[in-house]
Order: sequence, then structure tokens, then C-alpha cells
Amino acid sequence: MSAPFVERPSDNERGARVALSHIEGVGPARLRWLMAERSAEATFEGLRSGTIPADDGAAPRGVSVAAVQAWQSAARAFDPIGLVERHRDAGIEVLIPGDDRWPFVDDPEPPSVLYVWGDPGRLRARPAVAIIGTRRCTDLGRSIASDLGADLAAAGVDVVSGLALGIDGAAHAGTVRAAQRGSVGAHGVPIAVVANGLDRVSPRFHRALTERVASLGAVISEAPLGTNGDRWRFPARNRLIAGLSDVVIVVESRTKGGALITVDEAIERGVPVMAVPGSIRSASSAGTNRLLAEGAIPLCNVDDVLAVLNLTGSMVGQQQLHDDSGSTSKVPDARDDPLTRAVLAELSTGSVSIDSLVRVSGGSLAEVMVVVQRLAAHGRVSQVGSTILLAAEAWPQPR
Amino acid sequence: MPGMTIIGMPDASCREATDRVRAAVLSSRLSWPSTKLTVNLSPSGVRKTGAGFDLAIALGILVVTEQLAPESVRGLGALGELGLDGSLRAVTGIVALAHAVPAGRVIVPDSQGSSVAAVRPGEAISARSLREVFDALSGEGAPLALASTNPHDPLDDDPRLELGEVRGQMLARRALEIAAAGGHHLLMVGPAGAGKSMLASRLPSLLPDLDLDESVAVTKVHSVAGQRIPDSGLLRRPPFRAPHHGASAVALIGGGSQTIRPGEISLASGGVLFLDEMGEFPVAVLEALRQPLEEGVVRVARAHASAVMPARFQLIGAMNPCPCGEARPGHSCRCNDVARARYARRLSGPLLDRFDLRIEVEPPDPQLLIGTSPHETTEVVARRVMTAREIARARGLRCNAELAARDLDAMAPLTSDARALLEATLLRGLLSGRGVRRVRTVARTVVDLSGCDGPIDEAAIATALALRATPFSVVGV
Repeated sequence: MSAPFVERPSDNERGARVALSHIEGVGPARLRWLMAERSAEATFEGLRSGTIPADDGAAPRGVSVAAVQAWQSAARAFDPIGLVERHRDAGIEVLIPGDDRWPFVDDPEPPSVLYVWGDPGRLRARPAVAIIGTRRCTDLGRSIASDLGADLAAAGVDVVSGLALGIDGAAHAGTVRAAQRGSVGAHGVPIAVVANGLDRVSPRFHRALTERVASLGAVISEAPLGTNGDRWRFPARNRLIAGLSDVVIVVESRTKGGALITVDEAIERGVPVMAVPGSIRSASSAGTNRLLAEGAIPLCNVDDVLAVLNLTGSMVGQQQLHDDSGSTSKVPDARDDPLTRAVLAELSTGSVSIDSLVRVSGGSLAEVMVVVQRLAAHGRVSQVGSTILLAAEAWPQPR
Repeated sequence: MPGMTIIGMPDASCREATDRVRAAVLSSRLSWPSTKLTVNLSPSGVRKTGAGFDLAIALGILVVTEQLAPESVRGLGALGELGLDGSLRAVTGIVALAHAVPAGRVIVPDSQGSSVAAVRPGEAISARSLREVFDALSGEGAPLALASTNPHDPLDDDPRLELGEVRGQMLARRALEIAAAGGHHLLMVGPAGAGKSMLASRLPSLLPDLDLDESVAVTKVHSVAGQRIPDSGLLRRPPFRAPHHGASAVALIGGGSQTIRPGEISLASGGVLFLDEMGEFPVAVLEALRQPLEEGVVRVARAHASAVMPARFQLIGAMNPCPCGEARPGHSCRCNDVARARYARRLSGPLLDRFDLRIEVEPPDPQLLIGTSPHETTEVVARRVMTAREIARARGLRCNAELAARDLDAMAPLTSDARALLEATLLRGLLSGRGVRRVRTVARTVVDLSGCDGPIDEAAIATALALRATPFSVVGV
């Protein structure tokens, strides 16, 4: 089942695993069949000499004699140690089972090798939470993912996601924002798990974001440099996201999609799944609402996550994203200003247009603007277009 | 061989003067010489276009054939196209042409007398036909009357669109008022049907009348472009131009292969250029706006000529938040991050930077569409705008948008509350250094609108901040 445990992995074992990961057409399942409880080194040598695959084990579906011969000749052409050197020269750490920092110790389906761009030490640091969801998300979903990422990082939790467009990107962006502001060591960092080689950032739209994630946390992949994102690699990658996390959060998901594959992998590993409730009319929330109906834990604010992680609120309170002491602008106080109170009450639904705020609060446009901009200057609210979004007071650190 | 040739680079319509002038002279019961005539249009290196020289050519021929005394036309300008029956007809670009004629009396077609009189008071003489001109110059008939400017006819103005008809949209109406008062460029982002065009079309009604210099400048450009000039002879209201996004770069910026014609940005000079669906304009066309926005004039160069034309317009842009138009919090946008970023990028950073006012316009609450709560009328708002403009003029500015950064401390001092709010916003990273300067400029207009020239207070800064929203929500770091 799990890879054979090696006390101190040898260079040959490491080289063999790297070389095996380079063979085209061999994914996690086929590799498991090839290795069949052998060490990687023995498997690789067997492939080279033609004694593997042995005749006894029935070949998985789709594996032809010609394919096996292609693998064998590919294996003969590889220089295992050279391949490891190539990755190290590019600044990529190569982890295999048995390394101190190997994160997939008890995983039912661990990768054979892990390529790490960034800090490999972060991978076993816990707690870590995955924030995932659809690429075709709503603005609200983006903003929730981004805030969750920022707030969890501020609470000292690492945030894992897949660098896809939509929810993934927003979660990473929020985490990066918080991690850049926080003091070193006190905050959580972003961790991205990608399907392709670490030199083939996909989507290209997220190239800058990828570099930030790598510099603050880590970007990891089980595919070697130069690998393109074949379709099958994405669902395979999702099991790594589940395997690295203590909680998996789905912010928005349609009724089908990669996020639900990650959820299945999380359930298989006994990792709690949380989902953000959405409108029953929003297609982007159909999947998450279904998850809730099937027993996922509802996520209504960041404290719900911390409760599942068994982190107390007090730990969160110690984290300071920023320091307002240098500012002389009046701190808005709802207690002695009725207009501030009215504005915050109206904002309790999450987001309200400026026009509605003025209409309902009873103040003039200028008065309401003063209240809102003071709140914004202190991070209690933010403005997107002409809509004011609340950074909920219950949340540990607003943006 | 009797006949007539025109030399000096005439274009087709100018060369056809041969036949028009001959017929006009004969129908005016004057005689046509039986010799060959050569008409030289000097300087010969400049291309001549149009029929505006007909009258001058005819008078020249009448002098050389000794039907008119040379003294009678000395120091006289003559503009106008001749009909075959000898009638004097209107000419495109008469205001600019008349402006170019050296000082002295100038004869112009009767229908355009008032326009020319407006730019050359006391010098414009209007006439209806060649015969009338001949009779007056030869002393056989009554002298020609000085043309006079018609009294300003309110019907010539743009229909005063009523701001009170815009339901709800408190923030947007405020933004429009500030734009009108300060001359700040305004960008409106919102889905179709939110009322962006309705708002933009009401901006001209809020602007004060043009002063005489502006009026003459605007009328000249419109005259050259062949646009309709009101009977009073001068355009007194700020122009409002709304070119479609299919417009070519030449149509927008100006140019042309034969003659250089003013584009929409020059026609909007002194007034408002409204670009609806800004995201649909070709990027090259939008980028071409940057130089005129910076300099207030547009330089067009062609192989045969180049021209500098006025382009001091106020830019009002409207666009959707994303290709599907639904990207608002709480709504389901169907566009992915890449599509949205690509759409937002159509407005380059430097161009986006020109907009001091950026608002998101949302469709108003249906209840407000039916409700009868009274909104401020155009008249009330226009009065405040007028006051603010007067305060700005007292500073030596045409409008606050022209306030230079180095004058901010002197002309837009901050109260301590205002300074604290601005600093807190800056510390939070919500504003750039340039943003701070532009916010102060807009805040200056907000205070001016209240009718006083005092320091910038916190409410003005807060309003200016709210009106400088990030219009596109694009994920990125």
C-alpha cells in the first residue's frame, strides 16, 4: 500500500524516484503497479534490464506491450543522479519518503517524489487548511476566499490551494497579502500544489502570484520540471491538496468540478470538509450547498474553521496584521456615534451599496462618506466600485 | 480661344468655379469677356478646396473686364459660393475663413452673416446675390448692410435635460455635479441599463455658457467641420459629442488624406466627449487620446500638411465591468479572471489615471423608479456648479482639474481631520502618491460647490475618496 519505508533514503533511491517520475505515461497508479512493494531503485533497475514488469501481475487497463517497451527504453536513457542535480541546480528541492520533511507520512496514496519550489520546511508545519473552489466563481466568492486566506494566515494557519483561476487564486492572493504584512514566523504562509512541472506555471495569468507564493511559502508538484499539465494530472494533484491539509474548505463549487474530487480525497483521509453556504439560485454555490446537505460543516465565519482546528480565539487575537497606533485619524466608535452604528448595522448583511447606506442610515452623503472612509482607513470595511463590504468584526483581523 | 483656367492647386470643387462663375456673371446681366482668362490662386503651393472663392473670383473678373472700378474692391474680402443664377450661397467653414481674411470689410452670404458678425463685429457685410454686390460696389444700387448678430435664441441651446429625472443614483449624481464643477474626467463602470448614458447626457446642462473667446473657438471648429451653426451665429453652449465605438482613429482624433478635418475630440473641445462602451473601442484609438488629454491640443501630421487643432475636452467614459456585464458583488458573472483582466486592461494604466472620478453605477432600486420623491433639478445643481466655477476662476484657473500639484498646499489646504483621514488611507496602502494629489484636487471642487473657498474638510476628502473607487475587481497581487 504505502511506499516502503526507508530509514535514510539513499542517493540511488532518490535518483530512481526522480527518473521514474520522468517516464512519460506512468502516473501514480501505474507506478504503484510497477513497483509492487519493491524499492524504487530495484524497480528502476528492473525496468532497465527488462525484468520488470514481471509476468505475474496483470497489467492495468490500457497498458500495452508497446507502452511497456517504451518505458523500458526511456528508463535506459535516463541518468538518475543527473536528473536530481538538474532540479537542485534550478533551486528545486527533491523530497522522497523517508526524508525528515516528507509530508505524506500516513497518506494512503502518497506521491513517489515531491518537487518543492520554496521552503520545504513549511510542508510538515501544521496547522494547514485548504481553500478551494470553482474557477467560474462570483465576486462574492472571490472576496470570501481572499478574506479567509488572509484571516487564516493572520491566525497562524498555512493555506493550501491549487493556483487555479477563481477561488484558488483569490485564496492565495489573500494569504500572500496577510503573509507579507505579518511578522516573520507569526503568520501562516501560502502553499500551492500544481499539476505541471514547476517551470511550467499554469495559468500564465498567475505567474506573478506563483512567484510570491514560492517566496513566502512553497509551490509543490509531483511532476518533474518540463512537464505540461496533462488532463489526468489535475485530479491526481487534488489528492495532494487533501493530504497536506487538516481541513478542506470549499468556498464555491458547481455540481461538478475538481473541488469535489478534492472533497472525496479529503473524506477518504478523514480530513474534515467545510463549505460556505450560498444562495440556492447561484450556480456557483450549487455544489457547496449540496455538500452541506450531505453533512459538510457549514462555514459562516473564520472562527468556525479555528474551532474545527481546535485553535482558540485568543491565539488569533495576538496576531496583529498592522498597527494603527501611528495614525491620528479618529477610530470609528459605534458606541458614541449613532451614524456609525447605523452604518455598521446596515452592513451586517455583508455588502451594501453606498446609495442604500445613505438612504437607510438617515445621514447625508457627505456624513456617510466620512463614516465609511474612516472605517475603511481602519480596515473595518472596504470599497469595491460603489459597494461597501464589511470585514466582519467577528473576524480576527480585517483587511 | 475664350475660356478660363484656375491654377494654384485647386481641388475638383474649386476648379468647377469656372462654370459656376461664368453662369453667375451672365445671369446677373453682366458681360463675360471673349478672351482667355487665367485665375491664379496664391500661394500656389497650398491646396485650395471648396467653392468659397467663387464670389472673389467673380469680382476679380468684373474688375479686369473694367465693369467694376479697382478702387471699389480695394481692402475688401469676399466669401461665398455662387449659384448658376447668380445667388450667393453658404460656405462650409465660413467662421474660420472669415477669421483668416485680413482686417477690413468682408462680404459673406446673407445666411451666414450673423456667424461672421459674431467673430468680426462691424466688418461683416451680407449679400444675397452677385448682382446685389455689383450694384452696391458700382454705386448703381443701395449699399450693402452690415450684418448683425442675431439675439441669442434659447431654442439653439441643447435641450436642457433634467437631472431630476435620474432616479436614485445619489453617488453618481454627486459625481456628475463634481465633474461639471471641476472639469474632472469621469469614468462610470456598470452593467447595461444602469443609467450611464442618461447621466452623461445630462452633464452639458450642468455646465455654464461658454464665454466669448471659447464660443468663437468652438464655432470655428464646428464651422470647419461643416457642423450646423445656430442662427445666432455662435455656439454658446458647451458641445457634447458621443461618437460610437465603431469610430475610426481618424474620425475621433482628426485627419484625412486630402484635407485635415477636425475629429470628434476637437469638436468636443470646450465641452464634453462621451465615450460609451469604452471597452469596445479599439485599444489604439483609446491610446491616441492620451496626448490630447495631456496637452489640450491635437497634432495631426500628414504627408502634405500638418495641423494643430484644439482638443481641450472633458472625457466621460462608460463601460461594463466585464465582458458579460454582471460582475458586481452578489451577482453571477460568467467571465473568468483572465477574460476580466483582459477587458479591464483595455483601459491602460496611464489612461485610467486621467480619470479623477471613477464610480460604479448600479441599476437603481425598482422602488425608486416608481417612487415620486423629488430629486434636485438641473437648475439647482447648475447654480452650484456656476458658483464653484467662479471660485476656481478667482484662483486663475479655468477649472480645478487644472490645479497644479505644486499649488495644492496654497490653494487646497487641509483641516487636521482631513489630513488624518488622508494619512490613514495612505498608510493602509489604499492610495498612491499621485492618488493623494488627485483626491485633494477633487476635494477642492467639493468644497467649492458648497460656495466657500475654505480649507478642505474631512467630508470633502471622504467624498473624493469614495469617488475614486477601484472600478474593476481583478484578482492579482
